[in-house]
Amino acid sequence: MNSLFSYRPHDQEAEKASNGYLMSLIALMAGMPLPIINLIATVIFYLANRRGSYFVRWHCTQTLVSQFTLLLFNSIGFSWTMAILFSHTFISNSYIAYIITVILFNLVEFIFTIIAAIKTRKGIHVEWWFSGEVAHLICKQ
Amino acid sequence: MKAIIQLSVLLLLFGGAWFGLSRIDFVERFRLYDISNKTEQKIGDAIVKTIKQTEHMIADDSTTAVITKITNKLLFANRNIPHATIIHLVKSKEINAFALPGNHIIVYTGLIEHCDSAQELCGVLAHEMAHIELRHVMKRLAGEVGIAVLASATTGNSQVINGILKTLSSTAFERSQESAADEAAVKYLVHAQINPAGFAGFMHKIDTLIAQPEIMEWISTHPNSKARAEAINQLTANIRQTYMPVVDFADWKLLKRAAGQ
Repeated sequence: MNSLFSYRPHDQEAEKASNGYLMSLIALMAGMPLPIINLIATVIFYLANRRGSYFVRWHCTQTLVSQFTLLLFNSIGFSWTMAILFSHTFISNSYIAYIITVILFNLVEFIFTIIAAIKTRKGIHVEWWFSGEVAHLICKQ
Repeated sequence: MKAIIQLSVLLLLFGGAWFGLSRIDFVERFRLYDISNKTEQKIGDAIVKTIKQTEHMIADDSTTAVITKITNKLLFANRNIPHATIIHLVKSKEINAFALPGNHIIVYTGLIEHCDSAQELCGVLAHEMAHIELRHVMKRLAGEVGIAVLASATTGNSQVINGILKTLSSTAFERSQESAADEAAVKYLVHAQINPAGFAGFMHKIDTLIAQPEIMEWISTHPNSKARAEAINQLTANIRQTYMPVVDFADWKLLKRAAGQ
């Protein structure tokens, strides 16, 4: 357990925090081609739990920040794909490389989300690179 | 502060992965712009049909026989060039020649008029054949026109056909593609026992003719002629080959007369 949380989260808290991660996973799979879907789902879950305990809020914020960061990369890829399909933009090596990079980053996020969902369900605090730092700035005890 | 550093590292990681992956030539490796031969043939045939409707073609038996003789000399010696390559002669003062999809090559009579020997003409034909064999024509069209638009040419979309024709007749290939076509052309000529000096000579000649307006089309689509002529001479410097005449003098005269009429 991280020193950030001076208490062991209650089982109900752990479940809610874990659900925050699961929510983003389910939404990601449902709205695969549209990068905004998973963010909307995460925002809804975040708003629903904004009055929850610090553990729940913190983990919902971390998911939200992570989803938002990915959204920026995904949106560029999405717009680029639309331009290729509907205007005179052509498939280039840069485009393919960008899409592969985005897929790799999404895959890494997907794996980390599964791990985080499992660990938080057990009441273990998981802190991600960058998203965790921003969550600390946003979420106050 | 820590968040900013971490974001910077994240962006650097993303940028690095993107840059590194973009060094891989996916387009070439997965042949993304390769269109089936049947579609390519249809596009080429549609363009030739349009040219025949709008331009004065030279198709008399004696001239065609000489052109076929010259073409066959290159084709029979080089098995890698598509053997269905057809040369179409267009009556025009303009000095130009260009390859079309479907193994068609358009040669303007103005170009033949400016050739002093059959070797010079063979050099130009070999260069255009190289563009076909190296698939430069289709790669360029797919990149500039787009595969979806290109496919609509098969249905006889005249606007698209005219656009393709304009692209191929008046815009240049990439410099690397021109060099590759020159190199391949020299090989074709040597295999066919045709002296590549004629090709280099023609390139030198068009460099000196730059002031004439009718030469501008060829110059604009084949820049750096002087440097390329020198590169051709360098390529041929160490080749030991016995060269033969392409066609006899009477045939060459006949072709020149047909071009000049």
